[in-house]
Amino acid sequence: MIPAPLHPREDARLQALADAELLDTPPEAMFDDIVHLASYICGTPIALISLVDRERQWFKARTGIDGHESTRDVAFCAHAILDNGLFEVQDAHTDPRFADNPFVTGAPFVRFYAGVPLTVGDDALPIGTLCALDRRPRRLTPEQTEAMQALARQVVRNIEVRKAALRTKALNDELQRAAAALGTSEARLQALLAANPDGMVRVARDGTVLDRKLSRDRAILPDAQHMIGQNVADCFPPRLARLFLQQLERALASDTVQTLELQETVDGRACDKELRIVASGPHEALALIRDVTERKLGERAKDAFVATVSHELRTPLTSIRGSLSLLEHGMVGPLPEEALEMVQISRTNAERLLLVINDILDLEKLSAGQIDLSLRPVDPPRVLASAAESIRGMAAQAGVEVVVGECPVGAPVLADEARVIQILNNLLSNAIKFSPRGSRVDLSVEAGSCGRLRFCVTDHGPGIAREHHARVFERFHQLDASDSRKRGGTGLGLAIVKSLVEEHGGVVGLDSAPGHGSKFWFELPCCRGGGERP
Amino acid sequence: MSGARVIGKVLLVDDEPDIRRIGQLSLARVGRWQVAVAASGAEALEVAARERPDVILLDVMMPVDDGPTTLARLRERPDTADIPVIFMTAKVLPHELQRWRELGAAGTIPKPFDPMTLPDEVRRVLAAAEAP
Repeated sequence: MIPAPLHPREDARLQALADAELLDTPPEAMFDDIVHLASYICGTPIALISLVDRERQWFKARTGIDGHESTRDVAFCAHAILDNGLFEVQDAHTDPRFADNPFVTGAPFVRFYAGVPLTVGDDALPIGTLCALDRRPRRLTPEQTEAMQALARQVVRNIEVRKAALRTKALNDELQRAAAALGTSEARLQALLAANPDGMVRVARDGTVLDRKLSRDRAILPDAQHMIGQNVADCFPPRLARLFLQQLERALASDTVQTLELQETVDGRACDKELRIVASGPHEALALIRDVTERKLGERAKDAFVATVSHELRTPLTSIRGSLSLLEHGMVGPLPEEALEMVQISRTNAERLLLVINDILDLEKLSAGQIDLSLRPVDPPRVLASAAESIRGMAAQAGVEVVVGECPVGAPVLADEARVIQILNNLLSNAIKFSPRGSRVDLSVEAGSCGRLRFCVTDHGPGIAREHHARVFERFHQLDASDSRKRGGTGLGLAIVKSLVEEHGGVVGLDSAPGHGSKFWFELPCCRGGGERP
Repeated sequence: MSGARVIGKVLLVDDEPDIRRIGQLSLARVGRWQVAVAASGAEALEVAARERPDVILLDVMMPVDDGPTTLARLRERPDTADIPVIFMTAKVLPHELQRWRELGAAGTIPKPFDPMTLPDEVRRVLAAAEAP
């Protein structure tokens, strides 16, 4: 027995066979019909569609034998796929390649074989054969040969049609699954929207309202029906619009949910709303508006308590401080040296306590939205000079020089001047506290992001590690617990700065690293039309 | 300061005894003025008529007659109508300051006050009110 050599493009041929997706599939009528026709036409008891795999031949269709497959080394078809037209063995007994083949010497006792390669694809790679086998020696007539070749072409065409049909079905299944999933998802989304008691507004990056859904309770948004197509700046109350646009910009820039809480008067009743703004596309965001009046009532009771306690603390403290001040300055008679020292200690501590209470009251007012900003065009060089002037005493005491830099940008900002000075004062006193004696603190202005103006306070202190940057603006956060004793201050200054800046529609930030000093900055919006330079 | 009023006597009106006492000491010892005190709006009218102070420091938040009411009463009486009145209050937001001016106060001194600088504050407010 002489086994057939491998096909010259065996790997490509095996790939074409795998691509046909026929191996080990159930019988199919269109292939069964063809082997029956081949058997009738050739007058042979056996006909097969055999696929020649790497190590075996496998029968997609067969008539006259029972097996499904055999090893490749004994396969007549392994020879036939190397032939171009019809591969014919007229008598296996006299052919040295097959005389001792187990299918010749044993069942099914093959003497005659005629096979036509099944060639697929543009490269005409033979994946198997259509063949007719007989138990006696013989040969095919030219008509039978021609019929076998025609039937082989039919097999190939069927393979191609079958493959296209399979692909179409798979695509169709996928489409139906996707459509079903989309339908489910859409239904879920609708259910979610319907069940959600919150109101909803969808807005474009520039603030144009694209879509809205009213909340079940009283609407925060006046005249919501006519909002679509309008800009929030024109249809929201001014304070809401300012804060909303600021959070919208952040939501789109950061891809995170931005929240906003505010109080509006609806039908004469105070109504608290929470807005959650999240990007819903590259250029639009969704804002969910929830009524949080109930929750806020509780919070406000707490705030009122804080405010009352602070007030009740402040009144007696004021008297204590005043009395001590008169004592200290000898207004009610001279004091012995040690008594004077004790009075001074009492007075400075009373003052520190008052500072904390004032800061708490300020923060409470800010978080309750009770700070009324009187927004006017503010000249940056003037506020820098005022802030530097008001801190000069403290700076001199600490041996720190406050240097006001050039103001390269001439545009005024839209702000409450007294509050800007308060912000700068907080940042400056902070910078001075952490500056080594003999160093300088720089006060400067530069162009900020989004057409805003950036105010910077730069010191040469110890600097702050990156992981602490976000937390320094939190209430009562001092990096070193001993700081408040060592350096004074309440731990509320930066929290107040952040609240005040955000109330202006601005942002705060910090550039710092240990050993490199700190640059605290905040940005305020420029006056409309004043932000651009020609 | 040539046109500034010379202060000899000050009336301090406040319902809080501690504040009244500290203010009194401040005005007397730091300011070196004669000081009269009153604990209510009604008492203020009586003391003002009797003592004829050069300036009245009037607390805004008082029970019964508050600062603005007391100011109006003082203005109604010929013998007290021309005495300058300075409000003393913690309410010093811009719109509040505006309101005190409209009520006819010469000015406002924010509370809490520093007793060591209170007399200077009084002089400053009066000078500003009399400036053309």
